[in-house]
Amino acid sequence: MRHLIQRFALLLLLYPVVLPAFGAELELLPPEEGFQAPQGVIRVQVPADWPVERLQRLAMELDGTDITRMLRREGDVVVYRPVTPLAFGEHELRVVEYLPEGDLEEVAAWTIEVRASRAFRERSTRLSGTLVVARKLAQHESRSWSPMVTAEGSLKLGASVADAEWRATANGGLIYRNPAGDSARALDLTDFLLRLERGALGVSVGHFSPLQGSLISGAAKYRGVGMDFGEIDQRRLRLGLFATRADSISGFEQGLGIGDSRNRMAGGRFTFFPLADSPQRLVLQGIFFTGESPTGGDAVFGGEHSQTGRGWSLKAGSKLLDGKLTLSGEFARTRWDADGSAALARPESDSAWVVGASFKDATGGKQPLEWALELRHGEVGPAFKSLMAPENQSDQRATSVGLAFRRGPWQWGASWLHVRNNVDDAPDLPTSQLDQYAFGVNRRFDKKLPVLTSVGLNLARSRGKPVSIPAGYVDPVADDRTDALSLDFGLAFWKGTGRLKLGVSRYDDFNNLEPDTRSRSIGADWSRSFGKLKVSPDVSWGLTEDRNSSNETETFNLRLPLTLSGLKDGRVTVSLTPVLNRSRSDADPSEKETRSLDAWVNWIWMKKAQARPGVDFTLTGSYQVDEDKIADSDTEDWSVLGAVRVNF
Amino acid sequence: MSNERTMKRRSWIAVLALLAGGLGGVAQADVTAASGSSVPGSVPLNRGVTLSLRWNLSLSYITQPNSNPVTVGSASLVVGVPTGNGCAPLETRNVSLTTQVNVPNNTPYNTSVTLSETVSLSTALVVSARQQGANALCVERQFVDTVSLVPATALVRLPLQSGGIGSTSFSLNYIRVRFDDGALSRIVDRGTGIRARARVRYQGRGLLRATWEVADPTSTLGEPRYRPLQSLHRRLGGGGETVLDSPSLPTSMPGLYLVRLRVTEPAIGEHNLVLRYYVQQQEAEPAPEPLTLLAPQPGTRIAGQESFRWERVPGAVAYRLEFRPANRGFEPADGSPPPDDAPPSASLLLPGDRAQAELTRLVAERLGEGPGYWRVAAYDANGGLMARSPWRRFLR
Repeated sequence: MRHLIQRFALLLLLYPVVLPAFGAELELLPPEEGFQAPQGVIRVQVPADWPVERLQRLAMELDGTDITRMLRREGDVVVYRPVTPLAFGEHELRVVEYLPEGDLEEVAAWTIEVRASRAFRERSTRLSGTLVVARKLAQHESRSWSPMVTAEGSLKLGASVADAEWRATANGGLIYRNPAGDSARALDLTDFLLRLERGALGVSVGHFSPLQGSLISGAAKYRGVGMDFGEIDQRRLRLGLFATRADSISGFEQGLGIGDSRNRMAGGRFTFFPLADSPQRLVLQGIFFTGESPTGGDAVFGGEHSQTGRGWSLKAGSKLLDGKLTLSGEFARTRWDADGSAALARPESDSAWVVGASFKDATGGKQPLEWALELRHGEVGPAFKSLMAPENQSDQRATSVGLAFRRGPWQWGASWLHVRNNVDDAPDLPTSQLDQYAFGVNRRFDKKLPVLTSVGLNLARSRGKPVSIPAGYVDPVADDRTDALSLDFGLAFWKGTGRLKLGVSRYDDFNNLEPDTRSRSIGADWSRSFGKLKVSPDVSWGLTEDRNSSNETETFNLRLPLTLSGLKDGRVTVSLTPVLNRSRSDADPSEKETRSLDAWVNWIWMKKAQARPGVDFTLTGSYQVDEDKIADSDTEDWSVLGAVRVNF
Repeated sequence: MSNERTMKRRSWIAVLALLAGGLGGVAQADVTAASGSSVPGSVPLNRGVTLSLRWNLSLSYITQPNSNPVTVGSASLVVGVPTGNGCAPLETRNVSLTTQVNVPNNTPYNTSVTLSETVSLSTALVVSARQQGANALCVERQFVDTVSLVPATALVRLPLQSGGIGSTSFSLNYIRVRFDDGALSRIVDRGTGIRARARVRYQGRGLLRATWEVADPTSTLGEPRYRPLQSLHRRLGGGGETVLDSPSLPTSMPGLYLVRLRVTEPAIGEHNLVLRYYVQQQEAEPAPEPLTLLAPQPGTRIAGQESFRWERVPGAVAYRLEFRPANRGFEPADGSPPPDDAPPSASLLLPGDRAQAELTRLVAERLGEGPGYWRVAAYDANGGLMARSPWRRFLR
């Protein structure tokens, strides 16, 4: 009761006089500017005849945020002044009443449209750019020639305009560098997206994810044209059509680069929520696409023959038992023609399926033990190929079980994955299986220990072995085991934060084709700001020992970045970064060590303002020594650059 | 294309010529033995592959040859299906491979040479072989020298692998490098935290050695010079996919950066795995200061009357107590807290002089039953986010 009185003390204060009349309603007053601006106040007039008992039971909510305690009185009007600017668009404001029997009753509800101006609900432009001209002042570069004068720049654009039921947005950027170097274009277009929405219809041009993750597709971004239609808010049914390039590309050659790649993909998708208003949630999803990949798609090595294919997938998921039980399943089928003409190889069709279930619950009182069990089982046919994995190693059956516990700051987890191939039992091929076991435990320390903030232990084992080898099969089949242990510490000391990671692993090959190895590694990093000075060192060391030959491979990396910023009224920044990289291998008798030191000073001559660009100067020094101790040869490079930069 | 064809024709003619020249010689010597090896040593049964082939030849010369140096070579390469004692051709490629050997005066002279080449087998070829019932492919060359016409045949057998888990050879099939938001190139403000991510699909088992390297504006204004950020030694087994996350990429200095994953083992040949990002002079919005939550402790069951408490933030004019249910989607995994930018599904706005609050019925009704997360954000008088706590788990 005390809390209730506190909660509505404000309204109680506002209306100390109880009047007997009824029937009047709350009224949302129009904004003083004529439209609701992002930080404009919201005013609601409360009828003077409402009884105080009822006022005590009222609460106000804006977009799911209870704002009752932020309300103020201005005369007979309740005023809310937004703490943070409200986003452009529609917002839901409602007043509810706590009924004595415990229910909530909506007393009033309004939709507020926050606008940028009278003309447009939303209108914003964010444009920032940089243009740099640099000249090499001195150099000693023994390895390669580099130009004396270079120019580079960037332009980043974000714009949106909207009103009524339509909205248009544009995002993108350009990177310029001249000379461009061997492997890059002088002018590079970053990912971009132009999107137009009108009601439930949306059209996209640029980079977007046309397909959601499934057995036949990943959620990668592709460049192309797409159209979608559906009830975005209700999420009952959503349809999408797209025509894109089937690989992610950067830059452009013609226009927006939509036609630059020859890998094409087109298709559609639907997502249906038939039980959107029911506690038993259910989602149905279907995907279809057809594609052509003359250059081999996303693979590292493109093939010389065209590949064409199509695929479809049906997916369903549901939550039952108050969301504790999740069931899901998917069936997918693909058809691929490896050379596009069936001249050499016939087209092949195959399918894949997966089912899964998970159950989670909690037992106990104040600090309950949460637990979750997850099961998955699926099979992929020998000729099944997908966009997600164009090189998919097919013909596998996989089962996985995961178990997780959590209690307060403790977490435990264990999992087992079992994979077997050649499940179609091709008699002339061997059958192998792989078992992967993992166990992990993690403990957080919330301000209880002075240095340690968390500690984690992870154990993993991977065991691969043959199940059956057909008679006469002469090639070796994997028979090996990998064990790994890692310890991960979260650290907080001297007002800085960091991590320490220790790891050991062993590998044994029972075929004696690969050397057995033992590995150890340590990595640590830490970061802290001492006023204007920021220090963030990181160091790592690793050693791998070949047990067959006793050869060792050792790596050591050390970086110590120091940045002093905010000097001279924030106009000067100084940075120094020493780096040491060492690599040693008995098997490869070329012990290499690289030492480098980068230093730069940046002076802002004219700060960027709304009406004028900013100008700054940078002096950069770079020094690097590559030392090959076996060949007894050192390579020394250094250079000094001066650059002027215009920021707009 | 026509140049390439002309070159092939010329090399074929050259090899024919050297063979014809050998007709006039005396059988003083032989390519006494030839063998081959391939990396990878097997072929996945449903896709093309690029092979690094090494041919080892043993040469023996009893007397000084008439022409010195001696040209040793092969005129064509056969890709086919293994038979009992050979390789039944599916495809013959007229690609010559030759080298020269200097024979010294002090004969007899025995030596060996190694020839290397890269050969791509198309998906169509592999699929075609499998559709014909083959369980392996083969690559074959016949080697001769200018002083003998007795060829030595070298054959590499490449078993078709059904799935990667049984394969003993190790090769990378696919590497996809992107920034953590999926982009190939980005423009960011100074101080923005970004990472790169490589998705690597592989066949067989073996040691993956790679290094994340970055070239910063101190060198990209001249000739890009990459420096190691992190070395990776990862033992991979069973075939499949692994994800390699880069450490945080530097964004302190304005200018152009190049970042790449340099794979040193296994060899993957030429590749273009370079991402570009440009850091603008403009400072990124600083991350909010950490805000410390006091109670309830993580994993506490919330009945409704608990007091949510946190440490006061000097200068804060308002706090937002935010709630978000766990596992809203259909993915069963529920272990990780929501990302920092995940919007709350219900929240409670409080004046800055309060550092504790109870769950109101309005918020509780919107939140519903089940596990969830809560956190607190502090705002200044201008609406700026001053401090924010991490998400903390609770149960209902």
